[in-house]
Order: sequence, then C-alpha cells, then structure tokens
Amino acid sequence: MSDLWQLFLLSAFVDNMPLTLFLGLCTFLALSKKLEAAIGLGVAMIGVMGLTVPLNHLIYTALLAPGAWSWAGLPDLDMSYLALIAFIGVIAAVVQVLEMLLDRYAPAIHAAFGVFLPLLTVQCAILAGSLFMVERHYSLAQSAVFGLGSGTGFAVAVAMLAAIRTRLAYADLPAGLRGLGMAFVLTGLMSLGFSAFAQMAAAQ
Amino acid sequence: MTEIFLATSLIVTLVVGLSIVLVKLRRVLIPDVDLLVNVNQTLNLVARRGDRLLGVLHDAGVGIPAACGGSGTCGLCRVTVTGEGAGEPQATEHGVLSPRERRDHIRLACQTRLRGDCAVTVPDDFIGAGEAIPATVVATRMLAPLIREITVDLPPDHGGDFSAGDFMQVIAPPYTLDFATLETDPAFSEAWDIAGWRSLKASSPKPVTRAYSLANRPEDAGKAVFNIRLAVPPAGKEDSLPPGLVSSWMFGLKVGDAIRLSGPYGEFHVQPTQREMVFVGGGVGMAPLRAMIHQQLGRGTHRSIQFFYGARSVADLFYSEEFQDLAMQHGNFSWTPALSDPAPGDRWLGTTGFVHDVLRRSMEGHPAPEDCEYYLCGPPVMISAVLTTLDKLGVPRGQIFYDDFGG
Repeated sequence: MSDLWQLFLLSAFVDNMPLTLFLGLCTFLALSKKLEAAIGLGVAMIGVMGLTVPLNHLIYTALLAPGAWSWAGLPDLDMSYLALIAFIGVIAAVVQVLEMLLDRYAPAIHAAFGVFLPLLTVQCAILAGSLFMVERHYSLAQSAVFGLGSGTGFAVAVAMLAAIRTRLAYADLPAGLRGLGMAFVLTGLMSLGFSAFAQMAAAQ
Repeated sequence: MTEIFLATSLIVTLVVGLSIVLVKLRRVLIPDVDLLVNVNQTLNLVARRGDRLLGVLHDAGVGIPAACGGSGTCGLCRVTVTGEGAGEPQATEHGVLSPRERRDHIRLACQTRLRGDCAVTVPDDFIGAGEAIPATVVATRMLAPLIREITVDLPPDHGGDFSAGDFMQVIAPPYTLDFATLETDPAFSEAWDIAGWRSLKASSPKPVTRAYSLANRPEDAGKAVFNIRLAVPPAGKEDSLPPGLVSSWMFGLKVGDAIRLSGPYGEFHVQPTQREMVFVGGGVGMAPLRAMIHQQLGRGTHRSIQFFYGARSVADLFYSEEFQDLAMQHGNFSWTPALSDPAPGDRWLGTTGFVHDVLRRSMEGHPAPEDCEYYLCGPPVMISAVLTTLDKLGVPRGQIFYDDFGG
C-alpha cells in the first residue's frame, strides 16, 4: 500500500508531466487563462489518464506483450510494436466517451472546453502515461495509480498556473511579455520549484 | 505469416470494437430526436439534435448574414436564442460577444449547436432574405492586376432597395478552375506572367458563400456592382496555400454567366448628421466607400467629403479618373490617392506613403479633426493603423465607422 502511495506522489510531483517532463504543454498553456477551465481540464486529465493507462495495460499484457500468445502455442510472438497505434485508439475512444458524457451531464464544462477537449485525443502527456507504463513494467494496480497520479500532477500544475495568471491579469507587464510570453516564464519558474521534489525523492 | 495475420486482425478488431462501443454509447447518450425551432413566433422549423442553428435558419430561407462563412469570427450572425436548446455559449463566442450580450441570450448562430427546443428572434426583414436571388453577369472588366469589377443584373423585384454601404452574399457553386484559362486584360498580362499566377488552380467541392460590398453608383440601379480582389497565395507559398475559394470563382465569371446572391445586408452606412466626412479606403475597400460617396454627391449634399485611398502602385489604383472628375464637379469633394510603393515607371507625382500617415499629415492641418466623421474600409491591418492614427488625433470612437471585411 505504501508503495502505491509513494508511486502516486512520485508520478504527481517528481515526474510531473508538464513541469518536469514538459509533456502536454499545448493544452497546459492554452487552457490556463481561467481557473475554472483549468480545473475542468485537470479533472478531465485525471479521468482520461486514470482510465487509459490501466486499460492500455490490460490490452498490452493480454495481447501485445512478448509472450502474450504463448497459450496459443506462439511463445515467440512479439507484437509490442503495435502498442503505439493501439494506445492512441483507446485514448481517442475514451476522450470521445468523455466528451459525450460531459455534453450530456455537464454542458457548462463542455462549453468551457470548446475545441480543446477533442485535442486531448492527441495530448502527448496522456500517450506518454501509457508508454511509460510499458517501459517501467507496471502491474495493473500500479498503472492505475500511476495514471491517476500523473493526471493529478497535471491538474495541480495547470490549476496553479491558471491561478497565477489570473492574478497577473492586472499586473503591469512589459508589452512583449503579455500573454503567452509570461506563461512561458511562469512555467519555467514553476518547473524550477518542482525540481525541488526530485531532490527530496533522491535524498530518501 | 501468422504474425502478420494476427497483428492485422488484432488492430482491425480493436479499432472496429472501439467504434462499435462509441456508436452504441452515442445512441444512448445523445438521442437523435427532432427538435422544434421557433423563429420570431411565426415560423416553426424542425431540426436534428447537434445541428448548427445557422444552417437550420439558412435552410429555411432566413437570411442571417455570415461573412466569415460560419467560423465564429465576424459576429454578423448574432441572434437571440432562448430555451434549453441553446446550451452554453462556446469559447469561440466569448471573444465576439460582450458580457451584456451574453446576458441577453444573444448567440452566434454559427456556433450554436442545438440541444433541445428553442425560440429564436431575428430582425423581421431577414426572414425570406436568405432565398438565393438568381442573377446574370452583364459586364466584367479588370481594374487592376488582381481586381475585377463585376456587374450583375438583378431580377426586377430585387433591384432597388439597398443603401450605400450594404453588402451581398455570393454563393459559389462547386467548381474547378485552371487559372491558365482566365482571360486577362492585356494591360495587366505582364504582371500576371511575372507573378506566375497562371499556373494556379482553384477548386471547391461544395457551395461556399462570401460577402462582398456593393460598389453601386446611383446610375447602377437594378444592378449589383462588385469589386472582387482575387486572393492569391503569397509568393513562395503557392503549393501550400490555395487561392481564394469564392474570389477565384468570381474572377472566372464571364458575361452571361449565372450567379446566385442573397441580401443585401449591412450596418455600414452614412450617418444622417451635418459633420464633415472623411473616407479612408485601401484595396477593394473601395467598393462601399464608392457607393456612399456617389450617393451623397448625387443627392447634392453640402457636407464636405474627403476621400483618402491607399494603394501600392499606379497599377493597383482604380476608379482614379472617376474620382478626379467628381472632385472637378463638386467643390466639397476632394480625392487623395496615396501610393505606398510607387513603381519607378509610374512617374507618380501625387502623395506617397501609407494611407494612415497621409491621413495624419493632412488632418493635422485640419482645425478640428475630432469633429469629422470617419468611414473606413480596407484590410484589417489598414483599419487598425488608421484607428490608432485617429485615436492620436483625439477622434472619439463613436465617430468612426468601419467595415474590415468581416475579419
């Protein structure tokens, strides 16, 4: 149990998707102007990653991993090269389902996402979650925790950035830095802050 | 062999399986039912869930203008929508609609996906205005290398009732056009050969609409005169960017060709005051300004009218003689063409510089630039430069009227 909790913290803070690994920056920057939208994105990320990583784990171990077909007399069969395309398919389907659910039950959040929700289909952080799962040989429970943890990390980071950007709305910034320029500077500073977590993890 | 077979069938099964799950879920979550759309409490339309309101209204002949073609940028398709069917304003609408408009249930029809029954309020004269008017091209002539004047004969019952500054929507059918077959005026052929525009091709698989301002003079009653600028890709990007969908089609029109239009629409009109008027135009922004100036002078107005027009070189300058004649005939009208980049062979003795600079230099000598009315039409870059200039001259925004091509 404590291992899983540690994995959760590790994936949320030490290996934070946008701030440590710089993955999924497009949605991270685009949807961090308003806190509401950022929290919505965060919840969507937790949902999508928490679902896709264990789902992809099941598909990978049952069908694609080397030796997965040994029960059928094909122990040498290695179809892990299909992982990428299978993962993208699963992610796209999950995002579609999420979009339909939001459209039906939470139209306000759906409207806030606008065109960004379909963009989650090709969000690199989500795909990276599944690819890391394969690379690091996680078990089913571990991959579920890892997915939820990475999603939480993304949610925390995007909500924090949105909160800072909202506060900066009235700041007298130099003209060239307004908007995306300042968002990049903020991302850099926050990433420096998050690198402290890596130090803490290394010290343990 | 087994591996190839297994891998192929695996991926196919996975993708098909996921699609089946999605289709089933969609059927459960988003029921496909007919919705009722009530327009101005007179018209009842039936639509499907997920339809765009603009399309539903257009199909019923309600002529909501949409200069940007439904991409949510021009803001012309504002309608009042009430009822649960309208849903929440989309992110794209927040940039166009003010908070007050959003509180008043104003939406962009092109961005509203119907989710249930709703009631729509549109100005009464839009109902029926969207029915395409069949018309015939009666004259075309080239004014500049990329600008063509197209005169269209309107049916008798659609001829008269528009005011200067209005625009009409042109519906281009599906077409393919090879620019090599375009007839160009010998005077401009050289420019075409140098730029290599003859190698371009344009095509459109489905009908597209675009808005074009009317350049009518009073003597053009019963007709519609358009200035069409052919939107060619910038030099070096011919392979990646296609030429304009509708402007290419319009450019290829010949006398006798059929054309379908709707409208006229517009809110860009001369204000009924006694102030001096300053018109600033660039490119085909000429069109509505020409209509307004001709209409004002034709009515024998005593208001002073100045017209600043920016072009790159003499070849891009058109209607110049016409405005010179007007300036000779009317003491209260002055015409200032300004060239930003006159060619050496132009032997240009007139004003040079960007039109906003020329305007600033001229208005700085004016006793009260803040008391004039300004009418602007041209590319968005020109409009924003002129707005900045006028701001520095202390002109209140309420006295500036402009049409920036729906950008």
